[in-house]
Amino acid sequence: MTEPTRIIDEAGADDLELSLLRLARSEAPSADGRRRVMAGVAAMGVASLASQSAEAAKLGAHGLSSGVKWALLGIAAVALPSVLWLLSGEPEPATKLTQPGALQAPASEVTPPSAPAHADGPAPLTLDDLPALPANEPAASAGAKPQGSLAEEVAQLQKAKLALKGGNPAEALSELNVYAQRFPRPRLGAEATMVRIEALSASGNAARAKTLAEGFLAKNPNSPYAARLRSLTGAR
Amino acid sequence: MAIDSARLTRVAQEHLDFVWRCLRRFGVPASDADDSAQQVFLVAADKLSEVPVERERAFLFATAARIAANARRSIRRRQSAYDNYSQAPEEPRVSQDDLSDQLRARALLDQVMADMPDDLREVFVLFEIEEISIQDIAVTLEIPIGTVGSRLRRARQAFQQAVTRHRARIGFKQGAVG
Repeated sequence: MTEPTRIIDEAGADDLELSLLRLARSEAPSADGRRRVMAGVAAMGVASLASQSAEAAKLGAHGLSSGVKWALLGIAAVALPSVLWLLSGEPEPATKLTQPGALQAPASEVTPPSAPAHADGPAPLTLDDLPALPANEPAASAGAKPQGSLAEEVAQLQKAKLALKGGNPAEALSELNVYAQRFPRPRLGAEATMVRIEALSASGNAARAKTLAEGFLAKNPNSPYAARLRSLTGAR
Repeated sequence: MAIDSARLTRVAQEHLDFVWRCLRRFGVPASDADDSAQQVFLVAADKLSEVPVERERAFLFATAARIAANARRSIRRRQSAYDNYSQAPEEPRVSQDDLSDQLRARALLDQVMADMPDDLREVFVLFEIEEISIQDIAVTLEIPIGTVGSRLRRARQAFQQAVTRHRARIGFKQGAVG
């Protein structure tokens, strides 16, 4: 069939129709939104790589040569801090990589050459830093609980966000506590912190929200969440 | 399932705007669209190895439509649960003066698209907004070209009728915006 002329290209098209179609074509994610999605995509790749590396480590002498195995582990070790940095939205600190299992690569202290390093900078805030959360095992302890997949982490955080959007901050906080317990080494920690502060604020606990926001901002003054947090809580 | 990180990143870079707009046109609010886009690429991370390169966009479109349907159900549940506290979505009231307000125009756009049946909306979005050819739409949706054409005609009628109804409601005078 002949390709029809699009409404937007028709001579004498209705102004309101044109206006709506132009608007529809021009919509796009915000810069922050784009960065968050792309950081999530990068994390999916690294999570897969880490998983592959763990499998490689299990294979040991029966599978890959030790050189290949350590190369895989090294790649995962180098990639993970960059992704965590992307996800946190913060300037990346020099990171001691102390993830358990396969990520305990020989090069355990890694500073990605491609990312700005701040050797004296603060560590990114994680849910483990938050006073409201139940105590978690140290991230690198030998007995650390196995952590769920990134998909599970996204889904759990989504439950909290949906509860908050649905006008139920108490349920959101409850879901965030579940999140903190299930994911002691959160890959979406900065976002979870933001949701927690919003939930506290929405539940009328403004003082607690402000305290938490100030703690976050002290460690992450240039966070993409900073302006929103300051506006929301009045934190400096 | 191992993820081809390089491919996933390329796909996300190339198609994020497309996915995001499709989610929006399928009824996902702007405030939820980033999260929903991330879910689309999460599905892609799992399935991309089974998708030929030439079918990537079609796969993402189908996934976005499914994720959007889930998001709409979730939003309906939220609204139902909190009916006592929140108002149903207001009929957008766009006056001649207010139409310069992009937020109100966006609300009208959302409403017009929401009123369109899904099968028509798919074709309308792909043709009128994403500027995809009829032939490619047929491939994307796996339907005959003739069906694409007939759906497009009906979709345009639905779009134009919705705009006309809106104009009648608020007494909009043509030529107010361009």
